[in-house]
Amino acid sequence: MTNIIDFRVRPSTAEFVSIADNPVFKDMMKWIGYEKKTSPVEHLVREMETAGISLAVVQGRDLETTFGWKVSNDHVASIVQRFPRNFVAFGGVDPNKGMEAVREVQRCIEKLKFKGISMDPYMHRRYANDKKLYPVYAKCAELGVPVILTSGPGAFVPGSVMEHTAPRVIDEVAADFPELTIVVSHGGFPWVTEMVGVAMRHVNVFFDWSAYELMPGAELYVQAANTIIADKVLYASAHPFVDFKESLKRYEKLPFNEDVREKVMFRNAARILKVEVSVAAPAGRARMEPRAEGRSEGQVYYSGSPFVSVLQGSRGQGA
Amino acid sequence: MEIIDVRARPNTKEYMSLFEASPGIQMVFRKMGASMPASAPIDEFIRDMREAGISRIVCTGRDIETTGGWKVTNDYVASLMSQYPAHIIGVAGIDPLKGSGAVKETFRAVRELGLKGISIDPFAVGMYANDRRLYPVYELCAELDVPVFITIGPLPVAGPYLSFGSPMPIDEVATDFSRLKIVCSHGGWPFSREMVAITFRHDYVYFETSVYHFMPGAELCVEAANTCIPDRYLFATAFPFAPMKETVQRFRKLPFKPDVLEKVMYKNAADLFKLEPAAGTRSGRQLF
Repeated sequence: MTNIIDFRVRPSTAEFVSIADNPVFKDMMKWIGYEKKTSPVEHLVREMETAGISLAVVQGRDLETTFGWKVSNDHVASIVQRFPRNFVAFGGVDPNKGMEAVREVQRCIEKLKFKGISMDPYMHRRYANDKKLYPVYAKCAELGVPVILTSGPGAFVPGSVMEHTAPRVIDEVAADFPELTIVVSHGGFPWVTEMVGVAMRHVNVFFDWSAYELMPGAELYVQAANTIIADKVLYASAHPFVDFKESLKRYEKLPFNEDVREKVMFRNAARILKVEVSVAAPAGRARMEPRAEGRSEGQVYYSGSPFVSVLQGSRGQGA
Repeated sequence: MEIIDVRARPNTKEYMSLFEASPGIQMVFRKMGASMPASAPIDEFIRDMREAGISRIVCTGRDIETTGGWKVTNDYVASLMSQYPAHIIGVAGIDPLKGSGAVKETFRAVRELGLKGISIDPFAVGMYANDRRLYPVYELCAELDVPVFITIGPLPVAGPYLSFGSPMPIDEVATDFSRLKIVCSHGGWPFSREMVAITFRHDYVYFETSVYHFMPGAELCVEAANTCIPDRYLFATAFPFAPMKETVQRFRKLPFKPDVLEKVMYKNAADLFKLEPAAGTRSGRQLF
């Protein structure tokens, strides 16, 4: 494929990779065998272009109140400003900061022109449905931008509670904010079936399952994408902790139906990010351009899913 | 002495028709031994209020549409305020269950209609004041610097739990939004000690004790006003649930120190709504 949107990429700048030295990820990094090294953003951009990744989502992350660590949104903005065709930015906010977090949401969207907001409930030590996060959700809904919530086991993160971003918790947020687009990163693993169920029942819930594609039980993600939630799943690598070149190889081997593969690798993310493909592209390759200014009206389009045919077994097991 | 009544609703037909249709409200009148006044035009209400010695009222809207089908529109409250700007301070009613709609309406009511704060009735929709669904509304009110009136004492109404009347959830809201001005309506009884303690510990929590002023145990509120919270105890009648004239007369006889009585009946509310230039350091802070 030559048109890919990667929904979770972090350039290996000193600011980003310093997380490997912080207690939050120190032991996890050992476990996954990540060795900290910096590399110029230009290098990442070249590699992305070679691999066919047209656009990547870069997220800030603010863990100051719990781990004394953050990647500032200004740093993220500086990267996106240098490579506006290759990256879109999501601002990281720390909900423990109260009103300051809400003001940072506004600054990210209105001043820095970010596309969305990102939070990491289990690293903020709050359930995703905690009241401290609600003003942030309300502000994102008001501004019409999506929010990414990091889920997953967060192996070896000290003091972290896996259930903070469990799909059943996301369900409540999605019910309380029907206008808010929610992207659950890392697929709510290990609650695979629950994640599929929550994405199916809410038009506003999407997920990627980066880093967990080969885990036991993860086959169900692909099966669900092929059958009931083709419009709700996104490709993400979690680069550099999972190198996107490795990640892309994994996805090539995953048994998606071809039309579903295109949705996963590109179309669903393009809808959420409101980017379009322009046909006249340099280097013989489609280019994605941000849509014209202004909020698009309402909900990200959701084409619906063939529940009935699945229930009747007429589409088989998909994969 | 001027008096501000921080909770009163004119007995216009817009309000009275809702009260008359509600069995719960009728139960309140029965239990409190008050009789429901007849509907009257707004100018008659203003006359009665002046006769009772009240110079201004805070008139709260109420929106519990999603559960009770009950609503006094904020446009109506704003129209009362524009008719009698010297006498009526309008405060918007917001339905806690309306999600983003509640946030939008708060913004509209304050910025477009010019209302001076908002009023919520969490008990009426079955939630506590520290419920997460209210947090976006609190955040906006703190940002706009307008007070939130929270009804926490649904005591005579049999439907909701008494625990909705506890001020304890207010402590969490005040902790999480340390600059938010919170007025607890009907707050001083029966959880008087807790209400006083929470008001004492948070610089921007206020309360009034309407309809419970003369209950056994409510003496504590007077004692607290005379000592530790002179700046944040407010006067309210909750008219039409209690008569204005009689309440004012009886309230003035409570054993307040004279300077404290003036604060409770006027200055604290004037300060809250910025009716006069700030009167200097808050004495609640001088204690430390």
